[in-house]
Amino acid sequence: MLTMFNFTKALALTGVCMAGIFFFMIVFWGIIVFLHKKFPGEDSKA
Amino acid sequence: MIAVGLTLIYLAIAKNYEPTLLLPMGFGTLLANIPLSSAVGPEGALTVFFNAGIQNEVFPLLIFVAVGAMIDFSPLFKNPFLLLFGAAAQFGIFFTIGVATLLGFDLQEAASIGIIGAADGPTSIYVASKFAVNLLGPISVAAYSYMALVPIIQPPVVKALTTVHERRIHMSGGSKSVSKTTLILFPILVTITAGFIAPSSVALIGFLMFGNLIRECGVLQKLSLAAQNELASLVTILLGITIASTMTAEKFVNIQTLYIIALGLVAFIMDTAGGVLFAKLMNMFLPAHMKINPMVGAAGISAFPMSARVIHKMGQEADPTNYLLMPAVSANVAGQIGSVVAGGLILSMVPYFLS
Repeated sequence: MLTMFNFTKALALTGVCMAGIFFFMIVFWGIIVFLHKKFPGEDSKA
Repeated sequence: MIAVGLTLIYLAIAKNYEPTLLLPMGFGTLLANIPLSSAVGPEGALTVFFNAGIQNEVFPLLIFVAVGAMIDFSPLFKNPFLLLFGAAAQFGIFFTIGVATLLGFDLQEAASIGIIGAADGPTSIYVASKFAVNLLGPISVAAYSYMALVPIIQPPVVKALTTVHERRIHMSGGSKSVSKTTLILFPILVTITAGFIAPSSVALIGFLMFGNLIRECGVLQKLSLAAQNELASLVTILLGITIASTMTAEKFVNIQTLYIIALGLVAFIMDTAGGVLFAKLMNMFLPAHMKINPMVGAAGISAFPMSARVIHKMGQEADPTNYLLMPAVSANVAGQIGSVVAGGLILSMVPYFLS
């Protein structure tokens, strides 16, 4: 019973954390795109 | 336990399996297990180091400064969409947490075991030192051993999940040049953003990004080199030999250790599978000229640069004109960020599920 209870919590943790990791990565992707636009590299300026 | 210590020393020297950590751990195991050893106990040197550096998480965080100073984020900036693989390839962590709970571990112990799948030694030690100090020894051994075994673990999993046609897909390494300002602002913005969203991840992400800022700022060359070399070496010695103080017979020679070693392997396999399958999923929606080589997904783990090298080599085996090194390195750097984010989220969320 306790094992299944812990397993259910593990499943919920999986859902929340995987969603969280993807969310963070998309935010970091956004930061990179923003920085590229604001501060382009040398060849981008040309 | 003396035999375990000697085995670790043998693996480090003769097999070259992560010798920087396994050798100090092996020797520390000898020090901790010699009968009536003065190295452990209330005033023993190893116990003092443990209380001063691991129980309060200082050693793993110092390692993060060193790791941050070693990471070059510029390959990632050329292919930022590969950040998604740094997320997908963390799947093994959570799959393993589920399996560990089915084997009878409580949620905190399961989370500490699952984080072996981060393929990131310091993150594993950091999480285990918070949630399951009693399992720190076997978790550290498993984490560092499997990192050394990435070239053996990943190829069969990747081959089983991909076709030869998929392994031949060519990818661009990205051509955008990255400005100095971007490299300097990235660690600062990431720390602030991540910190506001998940404050409990500040220590993990913040120390990593601090190390990276030292590297990229251009005015702290001496400190950057010190962090990459002296700091990394010094803390690794102390970390390894100190973790060994937990490796006593009653804590190590039991069925749990065997489970942890087996679950660590499961975590690495499922990480690889998660990355590959996510790439295949993305390919279902991408136009033909933008297809991703699914093997690159497997490089989204933190074991840098081994995983990128393995994927590049496999790409060359499938097609000698296929150069996957740059996209694989980008995914691998994403994995370094992903593993730290995963550690931070686990530290934040597990207490909620316990309350």
